Amino acid sequence: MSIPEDKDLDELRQNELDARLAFTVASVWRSERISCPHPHVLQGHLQGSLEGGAKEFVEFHLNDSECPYCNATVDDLKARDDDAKQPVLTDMKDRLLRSTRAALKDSKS
Amino acid sequence: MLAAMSEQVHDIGTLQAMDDTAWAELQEDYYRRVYFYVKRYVGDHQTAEDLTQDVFLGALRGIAGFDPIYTLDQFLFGIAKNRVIDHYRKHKLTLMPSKPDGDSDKSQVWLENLAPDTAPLPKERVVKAEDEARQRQVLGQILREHVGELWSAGEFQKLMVLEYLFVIGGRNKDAAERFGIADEKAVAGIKFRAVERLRGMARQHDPNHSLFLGLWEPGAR
Repeated sequence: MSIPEDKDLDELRQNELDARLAFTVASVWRSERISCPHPHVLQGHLQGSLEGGAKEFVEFHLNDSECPYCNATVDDLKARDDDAKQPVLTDMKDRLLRSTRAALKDSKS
Repeated sequence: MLAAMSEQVHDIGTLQAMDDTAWAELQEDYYRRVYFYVKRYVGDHQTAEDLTQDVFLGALRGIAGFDPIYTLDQFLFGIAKNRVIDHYRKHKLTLMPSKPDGDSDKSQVWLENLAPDTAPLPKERVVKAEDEARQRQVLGQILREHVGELWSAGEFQKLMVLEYLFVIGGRNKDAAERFGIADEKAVAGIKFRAVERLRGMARQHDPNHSLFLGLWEPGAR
């Protein structure tokens, strides 16, 4: 096996740096939701008021990237317009509140 | 136009004081989105409700150690993500395809980055973790600035290409096909220019050369 020249080592080091950077960029991008559109933009998308590149991007973000945070926001916005889902969500909210209140009470006792 | 964080302000101190009203307001603000987030992964309503309940109970237990470098949004959805992962591990499930045709499981990539273990760290690891947290914070700021630039300039194709490459982990060749770009070299060019821009911004945020050591090593571009 030949000994790598300095130029090769530089290239290797650069490739390693690029790989590390790409990995970190990916994880930060996802965890910090770097490209998630504002909920108002998602609302606009649902109402059909987005056009051109912005519309294309939001569709890509929801359907290709499958961003779970933005899809949750969209599902929430859709549910707000769906009367059939309201009782289910209201009942759930009441149960969640009771459970949280009980835990708060326990934490204070 | 970017950033899907909650617009309502919740006071961490009041939550840490276990104030009933503060917790009710937090829950009112978040429970639907947490529920729909979890439901996307687990499918059925009852499991999603149970896990949503676990998220808020987990938040109650964890709020005392809340790290202010994160947002409440990240805190709650971080717990939600871990509850989903725990659920899959516990039931030895594979991730449910999120599209009816079942040919895609890209939502899985969003489940990476488990929240750090809550066990106390040795001192040297605490310092390292603090450095990494600072790096991630600055990198997040830089990325947000760059993505904001692209959004404001209407460079949506570039934005999609970068998200495709970085978030989905797609290949240059596939990106060229997906976005109707001439060839994979053109895609590589978009990526290269973005990385160069990020490097430049990172240098500006690191005047003491202490944050991104790799950027200042001999041979680094």
